[in-house]
Amino acid sequence: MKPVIFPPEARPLLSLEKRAHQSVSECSVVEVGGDYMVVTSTDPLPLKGKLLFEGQAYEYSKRGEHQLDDLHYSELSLEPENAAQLQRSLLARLPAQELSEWILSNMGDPPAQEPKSHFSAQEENQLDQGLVTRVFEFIVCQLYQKAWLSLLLLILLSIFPISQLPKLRMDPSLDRLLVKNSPEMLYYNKSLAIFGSDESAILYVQDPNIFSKEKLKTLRSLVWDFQKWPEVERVNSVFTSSFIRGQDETLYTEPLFQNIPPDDEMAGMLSLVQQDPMLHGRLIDVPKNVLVFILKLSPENRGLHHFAKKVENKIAPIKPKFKKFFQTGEPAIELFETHEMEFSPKIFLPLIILILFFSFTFIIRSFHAFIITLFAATLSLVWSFGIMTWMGIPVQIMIILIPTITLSLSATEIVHLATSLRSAWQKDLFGLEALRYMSRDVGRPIFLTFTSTALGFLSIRISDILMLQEFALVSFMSLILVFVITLLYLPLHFRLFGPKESPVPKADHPFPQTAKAQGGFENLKIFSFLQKKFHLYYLNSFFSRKAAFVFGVFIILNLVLASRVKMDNDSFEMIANRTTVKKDLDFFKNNMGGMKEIHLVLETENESLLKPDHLKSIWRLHQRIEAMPQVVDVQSIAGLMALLNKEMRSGFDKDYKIPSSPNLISQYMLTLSRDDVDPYLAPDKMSANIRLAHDISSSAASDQFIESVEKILSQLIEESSLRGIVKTNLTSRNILNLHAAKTITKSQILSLVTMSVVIVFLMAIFFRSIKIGLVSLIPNLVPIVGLFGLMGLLDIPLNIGTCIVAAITIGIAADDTIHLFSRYFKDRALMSDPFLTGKESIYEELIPILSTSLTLSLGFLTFAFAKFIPLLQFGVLSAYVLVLAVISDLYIGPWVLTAFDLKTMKGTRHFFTYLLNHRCWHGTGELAQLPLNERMQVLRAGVFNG
Amino acid sequence: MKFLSVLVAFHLSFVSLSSQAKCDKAGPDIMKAQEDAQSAKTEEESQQIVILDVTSNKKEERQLKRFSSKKDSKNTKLVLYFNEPATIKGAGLLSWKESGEENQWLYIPELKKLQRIASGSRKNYFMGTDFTYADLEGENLDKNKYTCTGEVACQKNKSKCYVIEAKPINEAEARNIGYSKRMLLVDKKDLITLKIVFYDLRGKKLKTADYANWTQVGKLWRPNLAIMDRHGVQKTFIKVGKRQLNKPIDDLVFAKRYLQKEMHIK
Repeated sequence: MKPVIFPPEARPLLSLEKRAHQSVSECSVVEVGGDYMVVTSTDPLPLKGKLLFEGQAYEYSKRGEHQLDDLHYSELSLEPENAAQLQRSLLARLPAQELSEWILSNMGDPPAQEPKSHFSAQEENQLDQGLVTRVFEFIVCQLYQKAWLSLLLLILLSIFPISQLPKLRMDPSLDRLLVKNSPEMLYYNKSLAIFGSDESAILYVQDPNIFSKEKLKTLRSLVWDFQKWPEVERVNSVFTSSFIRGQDETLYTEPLFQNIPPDDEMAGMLSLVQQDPMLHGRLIDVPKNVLVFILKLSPENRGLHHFAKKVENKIAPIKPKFKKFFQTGEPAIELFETHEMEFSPKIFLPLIILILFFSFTFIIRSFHAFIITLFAATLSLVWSFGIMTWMGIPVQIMIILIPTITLSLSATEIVHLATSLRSAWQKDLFGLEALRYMSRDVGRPIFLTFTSTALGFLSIRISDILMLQEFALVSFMSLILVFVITLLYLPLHFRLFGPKESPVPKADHPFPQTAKAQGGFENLKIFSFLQKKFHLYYLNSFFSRKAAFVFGVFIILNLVLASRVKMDNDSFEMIANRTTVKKDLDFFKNNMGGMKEIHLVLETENESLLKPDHLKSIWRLHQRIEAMPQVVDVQSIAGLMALLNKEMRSGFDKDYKIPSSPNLISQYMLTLSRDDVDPYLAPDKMSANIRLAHDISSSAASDQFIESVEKILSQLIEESSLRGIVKTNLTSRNILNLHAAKTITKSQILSLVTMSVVIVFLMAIFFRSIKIGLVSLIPNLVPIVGLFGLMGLLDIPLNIGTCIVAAITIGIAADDTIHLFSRYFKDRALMSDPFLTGKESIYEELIPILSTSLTLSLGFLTFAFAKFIPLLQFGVLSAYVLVLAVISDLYIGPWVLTAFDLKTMKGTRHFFTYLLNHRCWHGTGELAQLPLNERMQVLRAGVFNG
Repeated sequence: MKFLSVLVAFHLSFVSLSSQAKCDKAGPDIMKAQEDAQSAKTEEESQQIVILDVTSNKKEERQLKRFSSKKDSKNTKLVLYFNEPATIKGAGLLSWKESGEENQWLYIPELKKLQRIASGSRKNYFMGTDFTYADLEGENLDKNKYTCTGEVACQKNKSKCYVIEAKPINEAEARNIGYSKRMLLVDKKDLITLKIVFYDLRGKKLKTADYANWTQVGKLWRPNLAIMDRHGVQKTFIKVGKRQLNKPIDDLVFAKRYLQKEMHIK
């Protein structure tokens, strides 16, 4: 039938169904066609709603709008049968002449043609049909029709990864925290080759009767057994380390308790050892009844956790005999990490699966999506871990994050697919048609969101730290593979399990529901109630000066706090205080100290350091460093020489110095073996090593300490007190950790910049506008500012866990921005007012954005149970940033969109005019005339339109 | 030095362990026979020592003089002192074993002091070389358990050798000397030890001693070259110059005042 056009004076009035924030209540009908209607109203109509006429409600969706003077002309899309019914009802309102003309013009009209597509014309216009979409659609539809191909591909592609899985290995090594092949690492390895290992396991034993014969014999036997272990280069202990002392006119060099002294001699020995600077306070503490064994590990020894386990098994039967007996040091930390790596997934994974089950079942209401998510994520992990093993990458502490991350992220993407499919079913589109609809509806955004998220993880690859490089690669792989597997499996799944007829909720939900429970959560009364309340609050605060003020203060405050953020890569600081290993570390630090070492290497140019002048230089440096409060112990060739001199001469402190005679030094050296000297003096005698023992933990404190040592060096050089020393270098694992920490800041900035560029690029491609790409970055950067602000406030450092939060969450947050922007521009085509478009697009995207972001946040929050602090911080901070991202998307997103839109229309000045005056809570126009309390009542009632 | 070039040739060892025949004697008997055959009542030697660091290839050269006097296994005296280099000239070691009890003194010429040192640490390396004090004592038949594990061809197949495993009699002795065991290659005919492989307390090969350039002094055989290779760390070469065996040595040489009065320094 031809459209019915009403003259201005005879246009019928239709009412609109009342909505909370809606100001317009009626409209005039201009024209009614086969599936559309044109109406006028004084205010813009909502995008969707119901028209009421003669007791009937007709659902419409707006296709377009145009403002002419004070009137808004809206083109509404109707179901054909509704349009026909309305037409018939409204025909009676036509004046007689127009009615006659219409009847005559309809005679002989060709029958209405069936639409070529199963989608309505409006849908055809709204659904994307770009290249990505077409490819997506092609793959999905082909695999739906050839489900066997889908199954075959899944099986074939699984063969290789599964074949690699038996070779999967775990590596909790702290070496992965370091920067490989850096100049610092090369120098460190060189010094290891010369001066021996600085890696050690420490055993702390305390007992009131520790110096009894029986207990000493037990411990001596234990130490002797340790000496036989191939992993152990040397054991420093009172049973094995030289105790140089003069006694009864005899020089003794044998260990203190190589032979257990008789009871009557014990007190004397203990008194003597308290005067030995090389042993007391390091290997023995007589007043505290403490003995310490330092097991120096061979540099070739890899797998500190295996060693720690071996030590634990060895000391287990002996431990009960002593009041306190524990192992500490880096091997113990690696053993702890191994336990965490084995144990944590048993907590995180069930939790995240539970969260997803709850979310999918009760909120999203799609059990299909839950199954697809589980399948796709699991298979993706199998493939990723298989390929990772083939590449030689082991499972390390960061990689255990990946299963939870993959599950969470894939869930949020698959939700969109499921929601789109539900829409298709509600339009009576099933099977292939439903998949086609889904591809055109969300195919391209899904592709983009997966890509942006995966690239967020890949950007971490920029880091110089091996652990992060591996994490970046494997997580990227996992996310890409999830997308691929989803493409492969989804058609197969719906071919086998998808609904064939009406959208029966039973097929989509494990719990049978009544017809009223169709669709998603929005049909649940509690959610409807909450949604209305939230909408009301949000829209009252939306585009308000108050919100602008709050955000402004938030950004400025966080920028200031962000300047306080420091970096930290110290492995000791990465363990939660509540753990036994950390308690032991702290106990040792407080009672004995000196768990860590820094090596100060001094070099000459073709001169022997055994010359008196050089030894005196080393001695001066030794003493200055020893005086530093952070230093527990210092050992050097000079210290050894001074001790020998003291014991050879008088035994008094006045001889505790370097002899001036080169001959005497050479003769003293005759009493020392390579084993005594090697840790402190290179075989060519041109470089010497001063070992500083300390307990400084954080990278920041270590950095300060290093600066202090360098200051001492500079002072001595200025005073010409280090004559002959041409080069000084600080090295040790400590230093390497510090160096790695410094790279974290650099890589953080780089990965953020990279991600920002990627987002701009993706958005620019998606929306075909570089300006939109740039504008889209703003709501995504605000949460990052909030992140660093919180870190600065709570003294959370940049470490391997926190440094990845920004890059990852910006990629995830961009997903919501893509959906929001996408919705805005779709709606913008239908509405003339940018502000209302902003409001409407948020109204539609609010719940999907909130539900996916909250699900994701909860997923990340599962890491709050981790005992490895970087993981804990990663989880909590990521959850925080995602919540901030939602808030930013809800407020700042529409602001920037509207500002951008207005700029192109009227200029940015008008945006601020609107923001601050037209739409502010004071109101304008009629509203402004009301007294304040009445004005507030109007606003609270939800009549909000300036 | 010439004898350094011998190293490579010597280390192309003529030992073939692939085919071991059964021993015709027990280990203790072989070692007792060796002690009886090769013991001298007195020994006097001039030695040239070269200590080579394997990593840096740096050498230290020393010259020392050595005197020993042996009444029996429980009563021995030893004195040695350095003549070169000048920095350590006159530094010496005096060792007495009287009725099994050991005493040692170290003379530091710069301090003009004869310092008694604890004799308990036989596993300590002697004067920076790769020989420990225990190595220098020679075989102690009472403190080791010897087992002959087989006979092999040696000396470029010109001779046959016993392969003898020497293990300390108990763990305490093992700790004292620092070895879990030693493998000796003993020439069957002359009962001289051609090679010793030392194993540390972990059972890992620690060092190898090769004895070469054997000369016969009267009925006794002595090596003029000893090479101790502490694998991957250091090598010590000891070349013997002048040697006298079983010639009378003045008791004064073994007295404390010999070193204290610097009678040994010329």
